[in-house]
Amino acid sequence: MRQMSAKTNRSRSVSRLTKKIHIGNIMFLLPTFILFTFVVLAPFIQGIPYSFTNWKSIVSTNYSFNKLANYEYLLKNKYFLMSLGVTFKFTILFILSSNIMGFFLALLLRQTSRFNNFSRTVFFLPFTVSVTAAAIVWSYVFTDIYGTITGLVSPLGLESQIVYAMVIIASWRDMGYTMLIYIAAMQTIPKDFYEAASIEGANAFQQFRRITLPMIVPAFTANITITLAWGLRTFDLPMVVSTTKRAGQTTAVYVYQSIFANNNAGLGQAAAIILTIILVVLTQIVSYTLRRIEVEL
Amino acid sequence: MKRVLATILSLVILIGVLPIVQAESETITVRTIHYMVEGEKAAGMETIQKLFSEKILEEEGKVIKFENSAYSQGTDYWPQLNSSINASDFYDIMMGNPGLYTDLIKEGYVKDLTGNEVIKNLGLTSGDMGDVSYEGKWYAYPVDFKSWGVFYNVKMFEELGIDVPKTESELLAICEKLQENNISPWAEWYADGASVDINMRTVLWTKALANGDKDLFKDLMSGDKTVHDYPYMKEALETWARRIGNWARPDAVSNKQTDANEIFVSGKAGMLYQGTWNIGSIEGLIKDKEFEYGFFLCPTDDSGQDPVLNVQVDQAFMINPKANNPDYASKFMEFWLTDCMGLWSDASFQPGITGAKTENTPPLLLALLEAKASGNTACYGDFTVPFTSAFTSAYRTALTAFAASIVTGETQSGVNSVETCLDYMQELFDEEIAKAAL
Repeated sequence: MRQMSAKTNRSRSVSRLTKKIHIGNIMFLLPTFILFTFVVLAPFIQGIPYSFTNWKSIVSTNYSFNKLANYEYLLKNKYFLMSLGVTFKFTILFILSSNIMGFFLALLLRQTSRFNNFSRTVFFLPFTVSVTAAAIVWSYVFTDIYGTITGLVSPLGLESQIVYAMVIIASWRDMGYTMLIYIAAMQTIPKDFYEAASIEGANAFQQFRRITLPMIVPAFTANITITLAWGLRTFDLPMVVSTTKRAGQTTAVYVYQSIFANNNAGLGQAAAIILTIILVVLTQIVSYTLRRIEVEL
Repeated sequence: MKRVLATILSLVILIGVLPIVQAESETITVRTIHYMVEGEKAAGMETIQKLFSEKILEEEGKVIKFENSAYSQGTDYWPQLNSSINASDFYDIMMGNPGLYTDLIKEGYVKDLTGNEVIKNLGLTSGDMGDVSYEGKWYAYPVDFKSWGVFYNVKMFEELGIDVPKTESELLAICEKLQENNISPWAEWYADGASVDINMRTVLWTKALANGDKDLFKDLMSGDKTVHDYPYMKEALETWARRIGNWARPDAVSNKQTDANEIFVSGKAGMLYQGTWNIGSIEGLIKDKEFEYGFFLCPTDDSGQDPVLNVQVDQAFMINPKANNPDYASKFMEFWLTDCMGLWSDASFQPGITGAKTENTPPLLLALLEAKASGNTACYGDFTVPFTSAFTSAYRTALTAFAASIVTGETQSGVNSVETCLDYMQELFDEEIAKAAL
């Protein structure tokens, strides 16, 4: 009986401690959550009703509800679907290239040395440059260097190549960021693992396959999820390089052009909501899948 | 003791702050939003603002302060203006031709200037006033006008024994000759929507107005007519295609205006098809360089007749009656139009709408003023309504695909000929019409 009451007391104090930790966590999250609610969530929810209206210019106060007309139009519209296609194509290629390049750079530069530190800084530098500036610099590279050497048209001027050119610019800028995440993950792997593997006769590839890769899966999750979100909402890059070419216009640009430039605010808002739904669903699926892989490995 | 010291200190601070507060309360701030991102134009306007401030201080004893915000017209000007109005953050002076900002007019954000004495006394043509009107009412102060044509390298032409062409055949022969001498005939900039647009206008506007098709843009936007109903739409494309010929540089489709200017000034290309708004930029590039350029209106046929000058009001400014100081904003614009047109023209390299000139006015501007005064013009303001920004964007998208298809020889967005370009253009227009009907 005494034993049972001691057990109950202990479980009560454990539950009290758990409660305290929960409250502490909530208190830490609260400022960010409040900010997120007022700056992101509330405006987004407020904007939803406009997607069911024929609101044209955002300075206009005249509009009426048109039910699902905007959504119906968008889901059947060739150019909106094309913008989604461009967005997906860009995102997939961007995730692959920025992560592959960032990963290989991390493998090359994971050891700490003066040269490696310097190189890491150099590779990270483009990330500090704005996308707009990067796009302008690359437009010169494609025209004045690539064009002069090969005598070919800049890929930014060709509809068939513009997405690839955008991927090159975005990956050049962001591979330094993914590299840093991979390096940070690699540096958390205890050296003992590699020493033990060497003693057991594992070669470099086996060490990489059996130790490095499984240990840095969380870094893959982080990088892929972030680059996925960046890719899906890419806006500034196509705004600089593809204003008059539909082949390079992403959905974010479609939204912006509809709301601001072309005075179709209701339609643009509907497009924004479709994009947001896609972004949230895809990010959740990718993040969930990668976390499962983490556990399995 | 402490109290006495604290009181003395407070009094000293108060005495120091009072004049500042008083001065602030007497300062009148006039806020301007514009898209004159070219340095010389913005500087020209600031000079006029300074003169106006001095005048008001002298006459009324009031301090006028100007706050200017500049945004790129092609990308963020309209969104910025829209967003600021939506947030009740009003600018007193808003740059733009009213026909493009009809929503602002309908919602009462643009002052009705109909019958304004200063504008009336400028003696402008119906074409000039059409550019600053909407449904027959005046909504902006017109300051200067723009046109377009061919800038050429004078020294290069002299060395190769080339004369300014009078016919299209002569122009195409010049292209051949430059190409034979390993010089690109044109510095193209088709990555910029304005470039493809102005390449069409010489034929399109001139023929449309000559045919009495003043409703061209209105009918295309309403869907009452299609691009196939206007034969000169096709003619304009064909004429432009002949000019592009097989001489295009590989960078033609990726160049923007500034790139083309540099190619032209560096002597890599002999000619540049450009708007007169670009004169200031070229002048800036050739400062301290031995480079001389000339300008001629582009011949589009072999008739040998003088080409028609296209005219469109360039800098125009609307007043927001809901802003803090619309009266001083109007006074400033009227001061600009009456007392400072010569100064503006010299500073900005823009031909003034009033025809004002000074002893420093460059010969090119004098020639433009003379051509406009001759009346051999086709004015955008003579069309009943201009294209909205959505239609302008659709139009330019189709034209960009056309230019890229000629330069690269590849099909772009299904465009590989004049006919397919017209089909694509109409498809984009139909899309805009469908959106408007939602």
